[in-house]
Amino acid sequence: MSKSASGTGRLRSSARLVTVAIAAIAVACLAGPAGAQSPTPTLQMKDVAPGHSFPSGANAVVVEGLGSLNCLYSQSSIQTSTVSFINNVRKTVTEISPQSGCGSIGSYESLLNGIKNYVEANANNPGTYWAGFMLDEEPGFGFSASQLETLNNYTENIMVNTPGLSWYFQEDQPNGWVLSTYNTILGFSWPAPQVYTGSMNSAVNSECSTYGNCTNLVTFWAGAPAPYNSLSYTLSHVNGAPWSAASSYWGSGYWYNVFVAA
Amino acid sequence: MRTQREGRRYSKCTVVAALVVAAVGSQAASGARSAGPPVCEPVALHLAVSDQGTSGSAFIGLVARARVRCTLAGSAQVTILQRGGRASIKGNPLTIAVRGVLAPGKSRLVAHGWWIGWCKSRKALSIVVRYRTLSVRAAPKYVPRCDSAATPSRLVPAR
Repeated sequence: MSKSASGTGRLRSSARLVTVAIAAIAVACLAGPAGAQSPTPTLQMKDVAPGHSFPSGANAVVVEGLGSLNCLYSQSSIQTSTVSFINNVRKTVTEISPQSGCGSIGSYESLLNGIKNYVEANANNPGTYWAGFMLDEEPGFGFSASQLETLNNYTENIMVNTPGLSWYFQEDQPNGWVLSTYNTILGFSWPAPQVYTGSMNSAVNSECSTYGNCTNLVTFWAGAPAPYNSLSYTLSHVNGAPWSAASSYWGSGYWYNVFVAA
Repeated sequence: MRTQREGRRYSKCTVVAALVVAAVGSQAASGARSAGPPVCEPVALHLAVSDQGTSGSAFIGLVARARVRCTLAGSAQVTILQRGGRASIKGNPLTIAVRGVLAPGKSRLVAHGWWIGWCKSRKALSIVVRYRTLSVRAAPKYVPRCDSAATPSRLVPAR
């Protein structure tokens, strides 16, 4: 009796599970990847160390300047490499990771201004080929949120007067601060958040739903913990739209960014 | 007459021989130059660790400076220590190739690797780099971010 009742209960339970599973599959299939970036970005920018050649498979290059100043790389190597790519008609971005172990906020302001001046003076048509800076800002790098806001305001002030496309991305750690702080730090930048974990993914989607900042140059890393080591998985879980440059500069395609431990 | 001809022939041979010797000597000297500067002697070498963060990971660079122009070759060993013992990191210690020609008095990055992910205590950590008979130790300026406690920390060479 109890066996029979138990058997009947298991059957009912199994039937419920099958029903729930079919419903879940139907919802997933009909709704599609509701959270996916749309349209799916197909153009990639990729890191290289200063002095290295254009990365294979990339559509644009990110010159990875690291912390610079009292660390690596030198300002001259970063700006020379940036100008070299631009003058070879390559779409180019210059990345800096500001950190207190390498210099002060004031020294980072001087660094960015110096690189900007060098590129504007020495590159051919930087307004077309240089998308500007990519700043990697993270709480673990030793600067407070207000210090980073100061640096970002400064960056906006020096870049707003450059001709053409040139502006700045923030390749930030989106889950490193409470959402309102992350939103403030982003300022008027082009967000390029690292999406290496579910927590980072959630922060990016919350920024979109809460503050309407829904256009992201997703930064993908093949070395991230699974399942975020899959590009298709990552892009299919970020809401909103991918970054796209004005068509007169970098064409009409949509972009994502690839971090490489180069 | 005959003696004079022989004398002229002799002097021509001498000139040709001298030219051949000079050419061979020049080639030998040129060959010596193309061999490059000598290997850096540890006694004339200064090493330093340059570490910093980007994208949540730690870049660990080995910077070298020498008093004279010289060539670095071979490999260096990078070890992350915690409380004096080897830290629990996959790939620790890491052996990385060292290469480059050093100009007198100028610092240069000669090797680097990456430390990725660290979810344990961030106290009492140090980086030790060994090259030939030299050893340099430094406290890390940046310790990698903990993105996933389920993923082991790892030390990897640059791609």
